Amino acid sequence: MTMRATTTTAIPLLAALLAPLTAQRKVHFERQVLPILEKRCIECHRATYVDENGRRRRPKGRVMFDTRRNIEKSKRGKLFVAGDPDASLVIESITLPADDEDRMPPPKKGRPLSDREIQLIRSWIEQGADYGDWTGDGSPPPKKPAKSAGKSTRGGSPKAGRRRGPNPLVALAKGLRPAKPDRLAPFAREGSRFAVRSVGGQSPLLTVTCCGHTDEVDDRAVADLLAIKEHIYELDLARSNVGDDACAVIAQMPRLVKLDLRETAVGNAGVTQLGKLQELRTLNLFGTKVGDYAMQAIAGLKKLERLYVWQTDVSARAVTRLREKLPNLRIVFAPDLPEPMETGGNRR
Amino acid sequence: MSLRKTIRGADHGSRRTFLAGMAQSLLGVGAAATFGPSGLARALNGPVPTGSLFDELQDPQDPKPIVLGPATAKHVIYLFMSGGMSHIDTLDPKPGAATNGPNTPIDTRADGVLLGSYLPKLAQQMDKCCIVSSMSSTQGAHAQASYLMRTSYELRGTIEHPSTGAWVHRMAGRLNETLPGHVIIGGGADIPAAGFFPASYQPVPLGTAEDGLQNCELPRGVSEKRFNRRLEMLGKLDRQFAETHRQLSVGSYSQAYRDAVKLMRSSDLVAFDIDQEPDSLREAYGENRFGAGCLLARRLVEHGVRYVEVFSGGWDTHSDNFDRLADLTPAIDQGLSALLADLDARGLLQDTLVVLASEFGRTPDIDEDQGRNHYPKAFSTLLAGGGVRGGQRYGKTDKEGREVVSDPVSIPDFNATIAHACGLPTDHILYSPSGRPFRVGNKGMPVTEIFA
Repeated sequence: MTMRATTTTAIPLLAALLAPLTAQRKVHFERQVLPILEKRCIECHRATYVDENGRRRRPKGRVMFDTRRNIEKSKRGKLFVAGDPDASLVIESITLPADDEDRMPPPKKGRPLSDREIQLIRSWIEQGADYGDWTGDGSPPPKKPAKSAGKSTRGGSPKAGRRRGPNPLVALAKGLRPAKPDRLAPFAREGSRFAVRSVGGQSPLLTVTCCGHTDEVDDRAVADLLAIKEHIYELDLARSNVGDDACAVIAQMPRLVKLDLRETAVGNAGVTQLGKLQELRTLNLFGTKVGDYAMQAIAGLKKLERLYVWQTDVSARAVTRLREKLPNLRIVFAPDLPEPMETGGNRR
Repeated sequence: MSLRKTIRGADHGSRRTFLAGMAQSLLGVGAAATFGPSGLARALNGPVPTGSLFDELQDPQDPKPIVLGPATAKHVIYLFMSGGMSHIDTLDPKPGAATNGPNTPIDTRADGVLLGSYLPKLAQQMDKCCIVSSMSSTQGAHAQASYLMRTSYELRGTIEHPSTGAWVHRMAGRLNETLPGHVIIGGGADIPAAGFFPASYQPVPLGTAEDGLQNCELPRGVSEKRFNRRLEMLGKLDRQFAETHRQLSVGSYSQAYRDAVKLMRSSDLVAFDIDQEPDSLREAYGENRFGAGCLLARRLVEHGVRYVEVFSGGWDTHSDNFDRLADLTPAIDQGLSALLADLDARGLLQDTLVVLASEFGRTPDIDEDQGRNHYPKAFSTLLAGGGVRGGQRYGKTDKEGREVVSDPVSIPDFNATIAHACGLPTDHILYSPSGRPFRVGNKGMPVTEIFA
């Protein structure tokens, strides 16, 4: 009995120990396999197109790697047979001897695939040939619902919200409809003081800047932004003529994540009104008139990650106190400038 | 007009040359059409009536700003060490190896990341930087290698490729419509610039940072009123021609004249004037050409210029490598360190990718003249800000600095990484006038791992 218990527990344990040795880490198609296909296969194997000389180019051997649908269509789906590398035509053709005329890529197209590249493709097939969200043509992936954006895609085109972990944009824009065209139209007119752009991809969120029109932007001008206040994700009013009154307007932007007020006349009276901006992550107050009093309001911005207060009246003591309240906040208080050069130096 | 002429125009020319230079080089085809309205068109998912005369004249495959995600980097400051910077003596020291030379590598603020002894101040900024040690080029001569580094394409007789700066300018669009999108400080006249892109993507060349932008004041004896009358007359004279010849280049000229005048009268013109900076800061950057270039780069970025390049020459240390580095490096150490610290303190480093690059490295073996020679096989670059995770070294060379042993980064990969930092899709194809397809980074793979 004791003996049996030991065996039954030992087997999974052993398997667990061996796992890292035998099984590969999961291969990510878009990040690891697609770059190889893009670099070595797609040039000849893609849907018919017209080249720079106006000639129609058809996919060689009717094999196409440019979209998921085309891969699955080519050779009756035998290019990659999920779970069975040896039945997969791609594995066969990339591992043929160098002098075989069916060997891919052909010698005139450069070096053969490296062992590592072959092993990656093989492992990916073994693990079930999972394409993840990739379709290659913008259509939604079949069956499996799309995972939220935020995956690194080395080699492929960086998608909206690529890299850096879960994308805050997705959650922030949830349930938000795109701003109505008539609300946006005034900002598209010639002479608009604000440039308004989508943050990218399909997101309804907007970035707004007055860069190039800083002279014309004052507290009254900022009120124009109320028309799109729900959609503003990033607001750049740096170096403009705004002051404390603009903050009353800014405070009405519930999805504001990044606010740049550097080198404006904004002071304590303005900043204390910003306590409502619960999504705010970056607040640039460099060269403004803020002082210690405003730091109390800032202590309530729980998501704040970066605060810039160089060249303001904020004291070292207030910074220390704020650091205690918000330990994850990076407060940039003074630059870390190098000592001036010693004598001479070169004049290059 | 060649870039050489443009430079001449910008530096010494008359008002007329200045304006003409502008037309070709800096303030080209309707900035409004490339940024505001069409950027918004994307947001609206539909056409926006802009009423601009030049809309219909736009190059049909031309720009809407093409940005995918919330780009981390809105600006790029690209520092180019022309001549080939010795990687072993600067960014990739090899303690204990004979190839390391006479100097002892120093510790930095980033754990486990060493620097050559010439860069003590930069060592204090390494928490902001990522060194890419696994660069490798296919070109070993200056012209070919610099061309490849700046364009991602090989130098050919039949075409001139756009530089990465021109790609970023074109794909991301201008941020400040009044200022040029791309400025080169202290660069030679023979460097690739806008290549086959329309003339409006030519960078603005500045001879030295101290001189700033020349020819921006009215000529002596010409009052504002008189100047306006002249402009009016010019408009009248031009109108008929412009109406008969509704072409891109004609529109581009008239637009450029208007834009040049707009810049002359703009408060943003102070962006070019580093005399506005306090002496203490000028000292911190170093009172030399490179330091002033870095300071001007910061001012330009602050005012919304997308891409600023600062050139430093003299790195071709075939003989007396160590003495010459002792002479060359202090300005770089000082200027780059001050730039990083200053950008960070102003909250600009988050939005600005700083790049330190060279066309290739130098031989690990030191020759009888105490020199190091051209070495494209393995070398290093440095990236900071713009979403790059600081305090790291990406890629490795062997213990003598001869071969890349892990995570190789090709020149196209490197430029694709810059594009990626700016939120640009590296698979987007733009066509040359003859219809050939090109991409930013020439199919390189962005090194996404280095971003935070």
